[in-house]
Amino acid sequence: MRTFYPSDSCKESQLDSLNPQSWLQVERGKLSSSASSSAPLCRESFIKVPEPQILPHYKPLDYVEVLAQIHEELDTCPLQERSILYLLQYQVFRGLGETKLRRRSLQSAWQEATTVHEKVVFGSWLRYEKQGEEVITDLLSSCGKYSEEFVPLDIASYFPATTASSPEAASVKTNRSVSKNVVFKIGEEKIACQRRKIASLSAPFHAMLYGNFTESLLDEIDMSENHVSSSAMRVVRDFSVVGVLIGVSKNLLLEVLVFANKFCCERLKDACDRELASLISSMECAIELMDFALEENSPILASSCLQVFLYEMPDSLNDERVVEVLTRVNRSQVSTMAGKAPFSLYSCLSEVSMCIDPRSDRTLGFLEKLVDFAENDRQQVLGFHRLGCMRLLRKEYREAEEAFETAFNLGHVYSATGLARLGYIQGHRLWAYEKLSSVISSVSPPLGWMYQERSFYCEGDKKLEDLEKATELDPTLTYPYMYRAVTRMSKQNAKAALEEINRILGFKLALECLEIRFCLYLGMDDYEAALRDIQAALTLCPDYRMFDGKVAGRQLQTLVYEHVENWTTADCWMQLYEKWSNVDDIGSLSVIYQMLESDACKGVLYFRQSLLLLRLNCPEAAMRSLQLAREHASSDHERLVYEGWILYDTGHCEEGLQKAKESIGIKRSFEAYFLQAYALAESSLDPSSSSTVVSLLEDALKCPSDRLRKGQALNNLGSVYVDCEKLDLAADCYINALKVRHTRAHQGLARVHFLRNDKAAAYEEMTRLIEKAQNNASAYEKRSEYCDRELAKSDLEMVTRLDPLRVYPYRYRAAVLMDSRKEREAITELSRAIAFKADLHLLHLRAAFHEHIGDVTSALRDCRAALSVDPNHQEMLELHSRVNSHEP
Amino acid sequence: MKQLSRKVTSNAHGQDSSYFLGWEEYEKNPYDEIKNPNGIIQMGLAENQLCFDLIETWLAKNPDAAGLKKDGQSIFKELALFQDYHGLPEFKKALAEFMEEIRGNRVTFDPSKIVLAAGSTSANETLMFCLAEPGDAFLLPTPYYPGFDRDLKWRTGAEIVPIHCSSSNGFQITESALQQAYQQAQKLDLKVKGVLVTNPSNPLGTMLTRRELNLLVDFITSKNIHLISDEIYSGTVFGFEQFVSVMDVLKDKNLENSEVSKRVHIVYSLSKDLGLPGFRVGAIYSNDEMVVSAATKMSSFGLVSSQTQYLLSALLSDKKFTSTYLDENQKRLKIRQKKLVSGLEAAGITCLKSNAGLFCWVDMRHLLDTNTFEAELELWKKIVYDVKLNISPGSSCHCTEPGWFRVCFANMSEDTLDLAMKRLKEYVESTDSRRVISKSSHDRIKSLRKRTVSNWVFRVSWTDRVPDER
Repeated sequence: MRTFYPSDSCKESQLDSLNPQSWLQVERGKLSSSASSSAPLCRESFIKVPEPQILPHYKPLDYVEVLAQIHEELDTCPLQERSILYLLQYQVFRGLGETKLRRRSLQSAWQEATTVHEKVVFGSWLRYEKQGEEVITDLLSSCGKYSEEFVPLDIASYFPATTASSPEAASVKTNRSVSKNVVFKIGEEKIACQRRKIASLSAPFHAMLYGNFTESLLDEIDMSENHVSSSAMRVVRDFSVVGVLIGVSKNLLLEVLVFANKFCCERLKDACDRELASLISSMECAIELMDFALEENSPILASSCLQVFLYEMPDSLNDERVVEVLTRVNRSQVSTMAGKAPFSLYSCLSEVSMCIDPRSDRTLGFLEKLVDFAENDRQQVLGFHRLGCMRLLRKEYREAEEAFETAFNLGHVYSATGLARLGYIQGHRLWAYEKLSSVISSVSPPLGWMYQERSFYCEGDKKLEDLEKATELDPTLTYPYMYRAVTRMSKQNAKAALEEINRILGFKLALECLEIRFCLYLGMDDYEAALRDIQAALTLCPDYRMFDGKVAGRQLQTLVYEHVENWTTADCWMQLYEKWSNVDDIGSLSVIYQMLESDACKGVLYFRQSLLLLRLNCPEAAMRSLQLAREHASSDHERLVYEGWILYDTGHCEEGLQKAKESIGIKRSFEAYFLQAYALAESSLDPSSSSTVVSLLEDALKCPSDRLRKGQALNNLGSVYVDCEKLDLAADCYINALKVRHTRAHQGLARVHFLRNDKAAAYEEMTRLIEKAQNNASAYEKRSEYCDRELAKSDLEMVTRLDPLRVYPYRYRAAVLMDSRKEREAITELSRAIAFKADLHLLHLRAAFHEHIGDVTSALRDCRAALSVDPNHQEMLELHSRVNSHEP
Repeated sequence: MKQLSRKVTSNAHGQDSSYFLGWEEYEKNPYDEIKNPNGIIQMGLAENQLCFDLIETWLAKNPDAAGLKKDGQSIFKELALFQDYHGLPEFKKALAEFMEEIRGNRVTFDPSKIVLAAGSTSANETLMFCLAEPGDAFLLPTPYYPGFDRDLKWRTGAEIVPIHCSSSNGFQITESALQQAYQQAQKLDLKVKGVLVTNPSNPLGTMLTRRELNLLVDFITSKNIHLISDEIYSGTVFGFEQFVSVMDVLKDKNLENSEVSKRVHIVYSLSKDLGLPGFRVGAIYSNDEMVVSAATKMSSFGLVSSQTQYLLSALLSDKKFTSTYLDENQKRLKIRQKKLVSGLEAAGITCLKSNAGLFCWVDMRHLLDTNTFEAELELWKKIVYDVKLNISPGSSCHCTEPGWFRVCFANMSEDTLDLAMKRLKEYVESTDSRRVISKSSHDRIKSLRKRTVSNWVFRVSWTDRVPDER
């Protein structure tokens, strides 16, 4: 995944390897002078928490409402408007940070595109987004499946052939007797043509040859002054007879096209346009022809050149000539190359450009175009807000203010953050504070970012209060935790600081938070823990730079490493086993990182890494690790297993199974059997397949592997047995898994107790898991099913405290309220989670509540928003049609 | 061992399923109001006995039809000699028009595309012979009519692969379920030749939704396979919504004369809609000429007798009769179904919301000791032997969730239905007091209402299975 703001690449700072605390001073730029100073004066205060960037995204106050509106418009709008609506939906999901959903919206925009220009823009955009996924295409083709999704289009075929009415037939008869032929003289050369054929090329020619001009009486016409070469004239003559261009060189085509334009020969021009488009062979060629195409108003050629530019993103945007053309073009030229899709075009270009460098002139140029082509308020909001963000980054404050102001006045309240920052920069801190206060009091309910932003403009208790409120409203905002942690640290309360930062790291593995914790540990001289965090951070982002981008994370890792006791390979495995058993996923990641430093069996290690990353809910990083595992596989059969997982994870279950079988064909191995069993179990609802899964897992357990993996296999075997109600066998599996310290097996065993009607034992079992596991939010959630309502409630409160992103607790609490007829409170409970998480189940339940209390409008809104998140959710569709039929 | 064929000696006819076993038990001890008031009440038989009076009245008014006369003249000789397997043209015309009328005259049926068969059993099997080689598979949504194992598989050697539907969405067909069934067939190395659905469904008593029909048509289009739509209950739709046939969907999608439409075949019969299973009148309707021609030849093995065709062509040509009949039939079915539903509710039992058919799909999951098919069979035995009601357990219909039962309501008098409900209620109350769940059925119904209507915690707690870790 690309990060939005790449850090400035600063010069590497030289760090003192002897005094790790001194590194923290890099923050203040005091390093060179203080590196040798031995006084560790108040070192904690050196940790600085940068204020978060203003996100250059469309962030409506009530995204549910906007999604619902879009959904409704999609239902009723003409077909050609659907694409642009999906683009808007994309922008909403972008603002919500929903990678998967926004990509689906983009896919829909592409699928629903009605014009060739939209197809080109969205197709290239998707291609750009899917960079690095070529390996999946390759793997699929190795299974005999080909996808040709985003191949360049044959643009010309989308343009209807010009059938300009020839002026020939109607008026020829009326003419005086003129000779059948006419000779065009160019310099010394004479080119004989059929008068009637030439006349049929265009109205001007017809008038010239049959009208009241002197030429109509002449048999020889001198064209020498018309900037046309004799060879071009011969091409014109041939075309006038046969109606097609055959084997004409590029330069000649250019000349003929100019000629055609001059004499209004529509068919001839169209033919040249098409021929030229077919001759584009390279980026260079496209750059050269684009200028010409725009000059001569040739849509097919221009669109084809544009396609080359877009197809080659992001590289093409580093070519100044490309950028120059795309930012210089005027309105009619844009329409020549991009038809009716200019807004989509510049949305795409500005977004890609921002990823490369948000501060560049190029980004600015594209954003100005984006604003120019915005057709409605929502499009303008996006354009102006983005423009404001970029101007702010470029320190062009006056222009930034203008842009934010426009967006704000168009209803984009989030742009107030930009205005506040600008006010603050200009010294109007109180004004900034008041601005946010007025925003907070004008909306109900307020959102987390409003309080977070206001906290920048006040001090002391007021500041802490605002930050507390921000976390309450949106627990996913990282800044408040970081600020609080660092403040506590500066008050010498290390334990409280850690506790605070652990709150967020327990459910959101944010790099900036890992960095803070790393610093805290350094300050506490706990180098082992510091090393763990930096290694985890580098696993997620190998090029991560710390201290506001000033120092490469790798460098720090190397330095800290020197301060801890080094482990042998055997130590590492011991540690991994220990941490894995304690469900300490970050700790396990770190050990694996360390093991990867030495070069033994990397494939296996990367594979383990991907398993951990999946547990930590980092699917993109997990996929990257799987691909690394594939590259580092030590044998073909091992590689096939990783390929199988890659395919399975990208939705190609059949092909994944195929790879597993191939692998087993070469060598029977634990992982290959495990993959086969897993893919089969998860893809099939057929109870008869469970016996196959059982025998595959038994095969897996017969192959050599370590206890970590065997524990997992035993655990999965147990759950198959539970599904087919063989509880004794299931219990055996779980007990054996626990013997090899697969701690998660407690959960399965609890289920067995429960199914045997022993709720108390199930509760006990889950309590054991909660005690052992480092990450135990899901265990609390599960335990809540095995106790009475009061205990369940307190367990679920705990879940929300540990991981506010888990939705079941909100749903449960809301349902309890609903059952006690507290409808308003129930809806509020759901709404507070919906505010920061666009979750299908939350929206579904709120829709059902609204339906229940007869609030059809709200129910319909929630239905539509939920269906924007998952258009195929069956229950949702039913609820929607039911609610819809209530509509007056 | 005698030298008999494997067909005869094997179990492939499927008639040993509990669906049929219940019948055997019933035959031994059938209920009769006067002669055997403690006998078993037959609720496993999907017969429609609610409108015989209408047909009998018509017969009395039109003596020619049954008397084998035309305009007062006997046509006995012609009918006695008639054996053209194309059937009586006027009968096929009348049948086609009747089918159109049931579909609100939105679609048309061409009589030349109708093949007559001795009931839908024969029609279904004939279609199988036409479309599948032995070992080829058809996909059927579960739960399905137990007789299909015999009708579709036994003699033809074709296979059935279930499309698993679940109570979570009212047993509707979903795309993923379809895909999974298809993949399952491939895993079993079976060539999938088509999908067969009953619409309205037996045993669910529900119509397929337009969404499901669209899904099916898209599916068979993309997989290039056949769709058999068994619409023998189309005249029993009594709900507010009108019956939607696969023909409607083809028309809406402008596929009427397409290649796809040639792969869509309808099965019809008069056994359910007119309540005449003894007359053995079934039909295939297909757009594929080859299928029509081959099936017509095969129909020699089971034709509809000429006097039946003659009688019914007169009956169905009487438009006034057919429209009154259809109206009245639906009204009576609706009343009867409501009676069953409220009777069940009084016993603390709910059923799937239905709008068609001669039966309800009844949810007795709460009466199971464990959530298993063994427990379902146990409960079923109690209901047959102790409560003395013959109902069909869901497992016989290949339902994947234990605890569902098909209960028929149109083959008995109202009094008998009342008695049946009374027996059931007594049984449930006796078990309730044993289990000390609730003291009276009144309480139970209250708690049930709470659960189904407003117990949100219960609904929310229904957590999905979380995938295993790796």
